[in-house]
Amino acid sequence: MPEPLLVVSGVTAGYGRREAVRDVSIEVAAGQVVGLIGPNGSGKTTLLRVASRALKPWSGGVRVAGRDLYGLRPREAARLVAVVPQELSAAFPFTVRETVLLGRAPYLSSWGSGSEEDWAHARRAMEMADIAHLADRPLDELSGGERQRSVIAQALAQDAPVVLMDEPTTHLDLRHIVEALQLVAGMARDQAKAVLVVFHDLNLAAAVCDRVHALAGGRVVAAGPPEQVLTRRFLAEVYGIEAEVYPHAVTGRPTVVLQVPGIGPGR
Amino acid sequence: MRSRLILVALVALLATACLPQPADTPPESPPEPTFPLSLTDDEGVTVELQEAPERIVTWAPSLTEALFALDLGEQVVGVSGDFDNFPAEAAEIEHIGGSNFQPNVEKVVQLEADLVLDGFGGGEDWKQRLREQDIAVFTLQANTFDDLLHDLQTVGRLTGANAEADELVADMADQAGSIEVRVGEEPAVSCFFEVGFQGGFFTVGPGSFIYDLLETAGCEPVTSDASDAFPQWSVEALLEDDPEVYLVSSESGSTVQAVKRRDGFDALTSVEEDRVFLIDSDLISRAGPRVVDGLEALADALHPE
Amino acid sequence: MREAGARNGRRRGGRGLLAALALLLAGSVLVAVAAGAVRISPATIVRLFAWKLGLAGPPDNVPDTTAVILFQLRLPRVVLAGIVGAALAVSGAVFQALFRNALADPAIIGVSSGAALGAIAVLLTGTAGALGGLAVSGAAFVGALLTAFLVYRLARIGPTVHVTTLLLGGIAVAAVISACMTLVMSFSSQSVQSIYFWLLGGLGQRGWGAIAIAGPLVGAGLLAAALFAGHLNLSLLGEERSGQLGLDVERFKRVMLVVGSLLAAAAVSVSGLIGFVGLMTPHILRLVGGPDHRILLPSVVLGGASFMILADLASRVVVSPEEIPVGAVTALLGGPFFLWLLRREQREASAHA
Repeated sequence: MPEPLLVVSGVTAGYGRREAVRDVSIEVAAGQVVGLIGPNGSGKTTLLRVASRALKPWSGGVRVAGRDLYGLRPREAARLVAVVPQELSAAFPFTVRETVLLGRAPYLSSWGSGSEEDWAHARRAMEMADIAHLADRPLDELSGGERQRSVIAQALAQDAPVVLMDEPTTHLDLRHIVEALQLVAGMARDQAKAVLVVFHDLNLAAAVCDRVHALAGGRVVAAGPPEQVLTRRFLAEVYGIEAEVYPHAVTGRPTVVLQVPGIGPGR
Repeated sequence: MRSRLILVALVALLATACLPQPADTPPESPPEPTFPLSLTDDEGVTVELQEAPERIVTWAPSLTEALFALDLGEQVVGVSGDFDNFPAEAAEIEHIGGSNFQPNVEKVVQLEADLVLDGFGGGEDWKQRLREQDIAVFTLQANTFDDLLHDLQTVGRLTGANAEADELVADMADQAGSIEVRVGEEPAVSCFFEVGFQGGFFTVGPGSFIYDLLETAGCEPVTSDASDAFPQWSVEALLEDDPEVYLVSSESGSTVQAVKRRDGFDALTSVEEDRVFLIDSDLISRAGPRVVDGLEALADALHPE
Repeated sequence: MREAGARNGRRRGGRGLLAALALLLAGSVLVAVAAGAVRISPATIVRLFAWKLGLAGPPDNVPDTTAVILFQLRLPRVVLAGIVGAALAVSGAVFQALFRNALADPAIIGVSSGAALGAIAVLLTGTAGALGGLAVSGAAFVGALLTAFLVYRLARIGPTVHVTTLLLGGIAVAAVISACMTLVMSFSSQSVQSIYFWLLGGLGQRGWGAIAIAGPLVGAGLLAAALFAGHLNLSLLGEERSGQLGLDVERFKRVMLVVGSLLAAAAVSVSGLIGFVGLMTPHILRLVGGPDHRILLPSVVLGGASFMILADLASRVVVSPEEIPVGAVTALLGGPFFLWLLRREQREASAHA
């Protein structure tokens, strides 16, 4: 059996002398969507940074498509791993088209002009993210959701087998959340990418992930298919909340329903 | 103006040589210093001195030179700074230079000066603070050679060296007069005076002391239309005006050779005819007793024998 | 088809902008060559150029000085103004991308002062000697580079460069440098005046010799900047994001600090301190043509050269035969512009807060 596309093994990392994650191992195979969940400060974003070559781990390693990520040059790494950050801001306002084309940077010369193929990739990415109609608008004039979709398009244009996403649905309205998740699922199913996504919203994680890894205090405390991980007991232990978990009426995937202490039945 | 200068020279000559001296007065006895005295300086400030000052501070190399020329070198207890380099003894005197082109007031007070002579003008603040300490501050600004002679006489009166000053002024006027007589025999030559070439091309215009000296030395500067005393000038205009003589101030940091090598300067008549001269800026930019030497140097450059 | 047309929208707009700027530069050169303290008729200029280019014999009835004025004084001055303007403007564009801030300009962040200090040190100690102008440029480059690295380290807090720290850091560094200059100058009181004039900035007296020194240095700097146009674009997204998109951020920053400093130093060593060109030109052209450096850099070269040529033209014809320091002309135009930009930045910052 071939090695999974993304292998994070025994990673311990932090900032300065402060440790943020300890001995974390995660594997994401081609065609898989894996979710990272956990309370604030549990180390999700740190792990994503380690996996994106932005933060060198103190120990342990990251392998992408069989190669040591930190042994690669930045350009080679960017052809293998695409990141969708939470926020994107340019010092000076690029248009959406220019922004998306920057996703092709790992394939371009330092002068930065793109070939027909690069333009085709950028165009397809914009269509997939439903922003083709915004192509000539400056990024800073867009709504939060439109910007976020531009960022997703930029990462799509990067055409890397591994995609890392940090809460890609934060600024989106319901319709675009659904579309974005469709996009995420499509990347794995249709393009055989390995997708690792940080989720705050457990229901979204459950809806789209093949597996979830739960972090708490920098360690993996649970891992497995959503229906195995997302239980009442897990929510009480990791998040410290009382909540009900039901299977979704159509998909059967777990659905978390919150309960606010002290507030009883509505009238 | 030139005629006025000749007049001063003649009067001085008459006073010292032509007038019969009374037999009962020994010629070496100086006229009595007139203290207490009250004089108004070039900034309109009236200064009163009860007696001849004994400890003098100068704030301009020209005034240091003036005091030494009046034989008062021993009374100079403070000078502005490194530029006070003439005569050689002056370089030994304490510096009072502070920052931002202002004297260090504490230093002046510590030197127990009773008179400060300023040759630049301005600086009301430090002058006021010294006056509050009962230190007399007198400002002298010379824009012409005549001003300078008058200022030297004023320095003489302030220091009680009236006779020495009169003698010095008479000598200077005499020397200037004979230079004027000499250059007056020939038509004025057109000239250009370079103050600086690095960064900007700077020269002198009407209203500056040097410009006055140039005219006195028999030159008609091509910068006579300048609106400023030290204007930045066009090299193109210089080439077009093509002065007969090119003068470089030593403070320009340039040399005769460097001037001749500059792009386009080989088209100048003065370069072609070897009439480019370096002038010691200390002799002409300092309104002091050595100005006559500067005048001589200018006249020699402009009107060789 | 429509797709392709739209895709090329800004690029075509960019071509239009470049064409317009090329026309502006050509016009500026023509006017600047034609006008000056000494009047030379256009017909005479054409005849003189024809003669120089070997297309015609020496023109009759034209005094020798006219040819000297045109070819030895005016033409090198125009060419040098163009070189210095392009260098300062591209240096500004590079620093603005690197600092991700529209207020970065070699003069404001103290890099020009650093270059001037280096140049003065050589001028005063007379170590220039055999190497001459090249030693001055070299020392200016070292001064500029050290200042650039220092200000960059000061201004960067975490991943971002803050406007306040950038400006304050620049001001503080420039103040320290100016104190050093005063100190250096006070140790060699005799040449203070010529140094003072040197600092004032000017293009008039440097001639073809300066072009021979600055030309190749600036050419190399412009080429290097242009080669990295795509990376400059990437860097606008911030260090982390540009790293994720494959940029070797640390190496890129070092290279760009060197390129920006080289350009600023080459300009300062032949023209003294001339401010605001590097600030205004990239900013205005970014508003017109967008932030894409593949369009911005060439347009900044053309625009910076034109601006400097016109500023120098103003400095020598407004009160001719007297001249105004060219730095005063650019500051007169650039000062108010800087204040406007600062207010705009602050308004935007408070709007985003």
